Amino acid sequence: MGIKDSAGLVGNLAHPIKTVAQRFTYVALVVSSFCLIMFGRIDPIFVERFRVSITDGLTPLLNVTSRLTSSIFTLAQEVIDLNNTRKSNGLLIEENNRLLKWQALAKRLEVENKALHDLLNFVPSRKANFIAARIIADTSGAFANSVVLNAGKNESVQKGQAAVTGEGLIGRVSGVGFRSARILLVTDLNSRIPVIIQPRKIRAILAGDNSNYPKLIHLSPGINVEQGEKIVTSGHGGVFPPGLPVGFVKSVDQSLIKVRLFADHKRASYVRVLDYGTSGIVEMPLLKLDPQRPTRILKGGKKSNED
Amino acid sequence: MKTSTWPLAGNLIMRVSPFIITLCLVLASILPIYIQGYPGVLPLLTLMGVFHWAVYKPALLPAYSVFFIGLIHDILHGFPLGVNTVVFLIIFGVVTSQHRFFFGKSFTVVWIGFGIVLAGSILMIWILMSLLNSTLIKVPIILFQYILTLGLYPVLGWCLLRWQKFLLKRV
Repeated sequence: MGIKDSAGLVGNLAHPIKTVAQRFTYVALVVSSFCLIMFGRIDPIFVERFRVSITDGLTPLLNVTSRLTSSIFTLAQEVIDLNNTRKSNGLLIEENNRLLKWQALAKRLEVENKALHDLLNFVPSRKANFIAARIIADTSGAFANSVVLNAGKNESVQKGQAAVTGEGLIGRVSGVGFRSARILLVTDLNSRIPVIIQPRKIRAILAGDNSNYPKLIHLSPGINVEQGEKIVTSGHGGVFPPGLPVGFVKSVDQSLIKVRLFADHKRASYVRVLDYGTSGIVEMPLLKLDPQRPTRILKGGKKSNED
Repeated sequence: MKTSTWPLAGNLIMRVSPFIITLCLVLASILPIYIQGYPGVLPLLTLMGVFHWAVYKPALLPAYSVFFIGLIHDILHGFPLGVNTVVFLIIFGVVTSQHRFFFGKSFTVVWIGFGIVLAGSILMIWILMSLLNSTLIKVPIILFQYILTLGLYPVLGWCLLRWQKFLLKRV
C-alpha cells in the first residue's frame, strides 16, 4: 500500500515536471531559431560554410533521388515523344535545311572574322573551360530560387562562376562544397547581374524578384528600352564574362522593364559552369603586368589557361 | 516467431516513421521536376508533414525533431537559417495546443484547420523573408503556392493516415 502510494506520488509529480520540461524545451528551441536568424545576419560566411558542408554531406543521397526522378520524367517524356515522332520528323527536316543555310553563312563569317582579326592584330578573349554538372536539387519557389549541382571544388567549381544551359545564363555559383555547388538563379531576389541591352549597348542591372521575369534596374535616365531588345552580360565587375546571352525585353511598363530569360533551368537536367580563369566576386584575380604578354595569376599561384 | 517480432519492429517503425517521413518530404520538396511550362513553385510538403503529425501523433514528432527538420529544410532550400525552423515550431506549438479541438474530427475539419495554419505560416515566412531581404516579396506566387499546397494536402494526408493505420494494426 505504502509502495503504491509513493509510486502514485512520483507519477503525480513526474507529469507536471515533464510538462514543464517540454514547455521549456519548446521555448528554448523557438528562441534558438530566432538566434539562428540573427546569427545568419552577423556571420553569414560561417552560416554559408555550415550550409555548404551539410549539402555536401547529403549530395550522394540527392544524387540518387534526383536520378530516380529524372529517369521517371525521361520515361514519361519518351512516351510523349514517341507519339509525336512523325510530326516532329517533318519539322526537323525543315529546320535542318534552314540550319544548313545558317551554317554556310556562319562559316563564311568565321573566315571573314579571322581575316579582320589578323588585320587588327586582335588579342582574343580567354577561352572558357566548361564544367558540366547535373542538377540534383531545385529549390526554386516563392521565397528562394537556387539549384544544387553535383560538382564542387573537386571539379574546380568556384564561387562566382557563371552557370549556363545551351540557351543562356541561369545564374551564378553562390556556394561551393567539395562535391556540390549552389547556383543562385538570376530570378532570385538577391541576384544582381550587370548586363547590356543590345544593339544600343545600354548598361543596366538585371535584378531578380522571385518571379519568372526579372527586371532591369539602374538604367541611365532618359533612355527608352524597346520590347524585344536582346540582353547579354556586360562583364562589368569581373563576375561574368561579357556577351553571355541572358534574355530579351518582355515588357516595358513605365519604369518597370521585365525580361524573359532565354534559359529555363526547368528544361535542363544538366548545366555548364563556365570557368574563365577569373575567380568571380570572392577572390578577385591579381593582375601581373608583363611587357610581352599579359598573364593572369590566380590566387594560390595557379596560372590560368590564357590563350 | 513472426507474431512476437512484428509488434516490436512495428513499434519501432511507428516511433521513427513520422520523423523519417517528414525528412523524406524535405528531400522530395527539392527534387528537380522536368515539366515544361511548370511555374516552378512546389507545394510546401514539409509543412504538410509537420502539421499532420502535430495533429495525429504529436508525441512521435517532438519539438526537437521539428527543429531539426526545419533546420535541414532551411539549409537545403537556401533560406536564411532559422526562418522555416521557427515557423514549423510555431505551427507545432499552435496545433498541439489545439489537440483537443482536432481530436476525433472529420478530415474536412482538419483540412480547413490546415488551410488556416498554412495561411498563417506563409504569412510568417513572408514577413520574415521580406524583413531579412528589406523588400516586399511578390504575393501572386505565394498565393499560387498556398492554393497548390492546400489542394494537395488531402492526397498526402490520406497517404499518411493509411500508413498510420497500417502500422497501428500491427503494433
